[in-house]
Amino acid sequence: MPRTVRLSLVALMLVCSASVVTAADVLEQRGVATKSSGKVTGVTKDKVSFETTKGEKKDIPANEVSEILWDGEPAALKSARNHEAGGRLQQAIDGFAKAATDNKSDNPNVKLDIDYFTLRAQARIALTDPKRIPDALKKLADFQSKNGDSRHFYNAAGLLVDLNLVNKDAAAAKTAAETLGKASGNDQKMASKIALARVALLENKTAEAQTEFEAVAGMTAMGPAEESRKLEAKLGLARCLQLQSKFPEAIKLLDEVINQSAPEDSKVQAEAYVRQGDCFQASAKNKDALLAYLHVDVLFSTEKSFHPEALYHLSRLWTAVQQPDRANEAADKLTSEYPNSPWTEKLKSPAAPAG
Amino acid sequence: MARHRFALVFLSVLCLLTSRLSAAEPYLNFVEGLRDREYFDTALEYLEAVEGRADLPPDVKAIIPFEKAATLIQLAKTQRNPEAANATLGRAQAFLEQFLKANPDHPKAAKANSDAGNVLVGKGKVAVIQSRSPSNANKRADFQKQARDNFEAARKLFQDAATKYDKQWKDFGAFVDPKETEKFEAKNDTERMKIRAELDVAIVQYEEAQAYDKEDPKYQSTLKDAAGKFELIHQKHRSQVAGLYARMYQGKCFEEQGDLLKALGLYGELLSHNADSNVMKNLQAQVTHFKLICLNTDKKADYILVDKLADEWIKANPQMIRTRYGTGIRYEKARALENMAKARDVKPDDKKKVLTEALGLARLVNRTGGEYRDPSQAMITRLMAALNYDGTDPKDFETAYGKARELVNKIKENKDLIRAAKDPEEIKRYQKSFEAHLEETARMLNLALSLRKADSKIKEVNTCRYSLCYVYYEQKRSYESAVLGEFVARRYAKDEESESLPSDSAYLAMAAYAQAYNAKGNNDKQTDIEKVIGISDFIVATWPGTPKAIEALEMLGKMYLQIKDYGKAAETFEKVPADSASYLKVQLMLGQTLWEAAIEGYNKPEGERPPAAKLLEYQTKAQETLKKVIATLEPKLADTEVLPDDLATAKLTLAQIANQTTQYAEALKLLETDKRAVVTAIAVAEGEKRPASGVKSGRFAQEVYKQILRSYIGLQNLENARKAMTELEKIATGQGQDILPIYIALGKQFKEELDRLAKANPDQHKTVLKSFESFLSNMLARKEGQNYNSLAWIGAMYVSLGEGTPDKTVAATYFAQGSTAYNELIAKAGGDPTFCTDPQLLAAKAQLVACKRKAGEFEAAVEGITELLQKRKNAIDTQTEACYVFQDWAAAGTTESPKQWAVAMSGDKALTATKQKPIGMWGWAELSKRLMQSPEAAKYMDSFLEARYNIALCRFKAAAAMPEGGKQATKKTGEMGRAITEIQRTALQINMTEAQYAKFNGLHREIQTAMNLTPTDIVRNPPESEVAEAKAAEAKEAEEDKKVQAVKKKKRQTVADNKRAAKSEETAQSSSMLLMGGVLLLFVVGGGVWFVMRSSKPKRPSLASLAAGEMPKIVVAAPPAKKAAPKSTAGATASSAGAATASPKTKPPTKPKA
Repeated sequence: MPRTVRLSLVALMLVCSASVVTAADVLEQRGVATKSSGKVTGVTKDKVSFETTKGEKKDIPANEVSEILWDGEPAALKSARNHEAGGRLQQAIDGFAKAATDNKSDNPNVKLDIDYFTLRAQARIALTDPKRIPDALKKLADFQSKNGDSRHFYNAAGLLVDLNLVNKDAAAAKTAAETLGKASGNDQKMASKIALARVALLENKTAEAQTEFEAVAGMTAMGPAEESRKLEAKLGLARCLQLQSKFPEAIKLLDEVINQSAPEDSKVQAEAYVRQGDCFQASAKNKDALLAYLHVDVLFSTEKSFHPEALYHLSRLWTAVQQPDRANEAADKLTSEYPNSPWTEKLKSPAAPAG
Repeated sequence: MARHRFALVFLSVLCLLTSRLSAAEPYLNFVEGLRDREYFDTALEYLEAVEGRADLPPDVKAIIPFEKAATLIQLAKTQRNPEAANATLGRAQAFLEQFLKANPDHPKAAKANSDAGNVLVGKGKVAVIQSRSPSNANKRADFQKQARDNFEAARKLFQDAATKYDKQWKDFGAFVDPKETEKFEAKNDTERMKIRAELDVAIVQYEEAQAYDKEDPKYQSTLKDAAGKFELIHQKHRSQVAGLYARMYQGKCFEEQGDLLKALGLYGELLSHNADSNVMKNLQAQVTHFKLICLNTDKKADYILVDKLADEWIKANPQMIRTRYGTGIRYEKARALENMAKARDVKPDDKKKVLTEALGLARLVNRTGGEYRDPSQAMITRLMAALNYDGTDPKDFETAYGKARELVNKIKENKDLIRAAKDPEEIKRYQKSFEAHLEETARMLNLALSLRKADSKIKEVNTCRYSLCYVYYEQKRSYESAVLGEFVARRYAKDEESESLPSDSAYLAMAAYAQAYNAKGNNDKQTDIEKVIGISDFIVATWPGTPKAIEALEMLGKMYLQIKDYGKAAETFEKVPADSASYLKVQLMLGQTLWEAAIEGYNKPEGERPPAAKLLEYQTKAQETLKKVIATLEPKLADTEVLPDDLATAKLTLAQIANQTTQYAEALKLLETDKRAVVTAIAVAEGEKRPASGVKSGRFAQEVYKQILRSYIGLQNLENARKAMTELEKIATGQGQDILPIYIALGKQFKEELDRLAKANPDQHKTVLKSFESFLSNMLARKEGQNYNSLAWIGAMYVSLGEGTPDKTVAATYFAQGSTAYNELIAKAGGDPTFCTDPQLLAAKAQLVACKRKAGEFEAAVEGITELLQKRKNAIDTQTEACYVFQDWAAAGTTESPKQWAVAMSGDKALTATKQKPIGMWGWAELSKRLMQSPEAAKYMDSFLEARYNIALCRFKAAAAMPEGGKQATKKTGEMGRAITEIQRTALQINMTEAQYAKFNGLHREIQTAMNLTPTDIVRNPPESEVAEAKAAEAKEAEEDKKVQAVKKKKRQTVADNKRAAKSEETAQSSSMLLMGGVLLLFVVGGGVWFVMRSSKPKRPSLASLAAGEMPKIVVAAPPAKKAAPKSTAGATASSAGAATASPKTKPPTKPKA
């Protein structure tokens, strides 16, 4: 066979195989290192049915699916997802809007994902800008009512819990937490218990909350998702200890949480460091507190629920360690990156409540 | 926390209330304190709470609205949002109106008018800003009108205030006797407020001009009128701050009228004043900013000068860099750089550098926000265009990572340029360019990290983190660097994919904590030490046996030395493997450490002292280790080779051990008689200046001769002892030191040695003490050859013996002998003017006073101190001694005692109050004030705390001596409460060491117990910024006090008196400083040679004493460049071969690898 013909055949094979790859849905499963290619054949709020390229069929619990890259999804969707993961939420929302416009896929799941991701990014912004909470709540509720069997249904419930807690609406947070408890996934049930404990904390029922947190923290975890929930429960426990002024115990528990968390689990670590900062501050250990908050600024600034709080404290603690220029820097960062956060308001007017 | 703080501070107020001052004073002090700390919410809450109380005195109730307004006005100043600030000002205005309506003739009515005026000016300024906003273009005229209306109303209020103040001022009468302190001060205050109100009238006119368009003729005419008003104020009050501010505004008016020459002339005049106070520094910052604006105009276009002046100001005022003026100055510098780059003759490379620097600055300014946010954003856009940046940053991790790596690789290039540059200007330029490069590199690395995805390669992510850690280290952002380094190290220690990144990061984190520890102004070094220990431990445990672990062991050992945990230091050094390159060096450190551990153990009180066998084991092991190292290393030296520093140090330590164990001949062999005795290593040529560190340093050489002297005393060899003294004096003279303080410290050192011996071997102690007494007595009895040197030594030794003797009768004989020696010295000096210098004579007289005091001869001590105060009024040690004379007298319980507490506290004020003659004594209160207001306050922190402690002690003791019950019962409780408040105030102001805290806390608890209260600990380490703020408040208070004192002094003293006093004080001050320096220098010598060698700075024997010290040096590995895995720093040892002897300093990090 002449060389040119052989090359052409190889090229043709490559093109064909590439089209096979691009013509598949790619599913990422939590705790599984490799991604699976194939076809999503069905989606409910409890499971995703999937057929691999090798013809293997399986049902994956919805809570274990971390991402689906849809066949034919718009390119803008991928970069918007990256923006969201990097904490650039407004850019993410813009990206999702572009993805919605560019979407040519007839797969309704693509649109559903775009819609949910948009709402999720909006909700995350609202967590740092309480004025936006009512709108976010309304949209999420609409989403749930229109997509009662979506794989995002229970995630939406989780967001509703967070938003209502920030909004200090215990009853609504409790309703959302109970909805979450109806999910089939064990980690979601654990999340529901944690949410209910946080509601109890909001209602100043520290003992009740502590019992709930202890129950979850004492469960046997069957996978990374459940491990993560246990850590969240320990964070809640640490908060209870903090509220009881048991600072050394809280600091020790938070250390445990940090060490047990996955190195890149920014959410758990951000919260743990903020709580540690609080405990150190309360124990008059300003430099330790500064270092704890600094972890959030330097390593976990994508965690928008905690970054402004850390910046607020840094803006005060830098002065305590004789670096007032750095205090100004932190204050400027807080003001410019989170103009509507309660922490920014507190910075401007110390009488304002925050957190 | 706020509530907790509120409760704590509230308790302090309650204590204050027990000492009935004026009814309003405690409440207002408290509110003012809260405002000073910017706890506006708490202040308002407090005022609300107090207002509702039924038992509130009417005078306090009346001014609550006024205080609320004052709080809100200050709150408004901190609010960045104009609308929010306006709303707050509106509330303030309402409270002021409420106050003025209810109290039109209240003494604070004038102040209320001024405050109301300021509220209106604030609102007017907001309207001006709004009028200039492009979004308000169609409402421009409305906003301008609104602004002018506010200014007009404000002017009326200021004029009214000025009239009221003028009347109040005139009511004081033409002359107020300065002796009527309160009235005199009140008149001065009123005058200041009057001038301030006049200045406000003029300022409001300047502001009014801003409410016109520049083309409007009213703009020019209003500015002209304002300039005239400022001129008048300046003419009348040119020596006052308000006068200087008027001058500045006059310049601003000229500047805005386009008369730059006149404006620059006035700015130059204002900048020529000494900036010796915060007020002047603020004024000059503002003036500098205005000057740069002038120079940056097209008309002047002196951009190079702007760049230079801005740099000078930034360098001189780092603490003000992010203030409004600092931001303005940086903005002007960025503008100047942008314009410089436009010049035709700028080379492309230079242009790029200048623009990059401008871009970096513009980004910084932009981040600061405020009024410069919009213009700096516009500048960033222009600069990006000029630099051909497309303005878009990478959108994915890989691209950002690649770009960041390119920038990291250029770090080396930048550092090489700085290193190769010879010309200081060139170095400065490269340095600036380097800083801009680091800023951009950090930005890109952060961007890359924010763009990482769940599937990004962890090695690349960690390389980014490590590189950022390194960049932060270079930028001296030590804690950011440490946080990143420690994260990679601890979370990825076992991650094979990350290769050596975790261990490199750990090492860098250790270096970063060390850098933080060494940073100027660090007020909490203990945490940094703990962090260094933590990460060093981690390195040793995680990567055992590696070169980094060995370096970490050395570092860890040194850190334990820094915190004086000698046992752990020794344990750590012992872990260094015998086959490591640094083994022998570490063994030297180990030997010295063991000796330090033994000394420390002996010095501990009985309950805490380790068993004698353990201490003996330390001592023996120290000797064995040192002998072994010397025996290994010394034979390797060539015949002509001089004893190296580390061996000289080891031999000196061995000699100390020999002296301690009465092996005097052995000590002399090591020090003086062996072929390679230590004296051969410390010798310098005649007339040659001794270096600041190393074995030839004055400190080391002195220690050698002290040990030689000690050996000859042990051998009862008078002649050779005198020779050693002569050598000591020679070394001291060469160092510009007086010998007497050295002898005083030596006396303490010998006393400690005797104490140790008493604990280790009581029989031997008796023999040595007897031998020492006999030696001293022989020396004192010997008349021939007696000189200043020998008599001073004898005096100092006797005083030390007296201080160390619990038996008062025996101690009195020692003090009497000391007095004899000093009296003889003074008599000889009287007969022979060449016998000693005047400062030496004064120092001897001071020691004589101390002898008399310690011997309980208080009248004689007072007589002596009176003479000294005449000659050395401003000397801290003399004033301190005077306080102790009266305090000890008071404590002695004689019939004269009770009134002496007051003299100890208040000096002349108390003497004159009891119709006694003043002696030029300040007392503890005045002394503490002066120390706090000293430009070198930090240097005198110990003296300051000593004074503050003794104020509280004297007050408490005086109160305790008052009878129970009866008329004085309230006063007794009040005074004790005051003492508690004084302690609490000090604890809130100063970040104390453990020992200092324990001392103050002990007194605090003692007083509470005496008051039948449950003793509690004082609050320390105040939250957040209270330390700095409390210091600022104190400085402000002191500044005010200084002004009053200055006025009084001016009126009281004639010019001739001033000149005479200044001359004699200058002499006394210099000798005092010399004396203090000498004492400090020798304070820590103890028995350890190593501390003499480790740092040229003196250290106190406490953890927090490390304020004066530095971390041992660390060599930092550079971030990996093109290849992710950086080479190990094996071989780059933590310290040079002379680490045991060289002064430890942090070595600059190595260059990044290309």
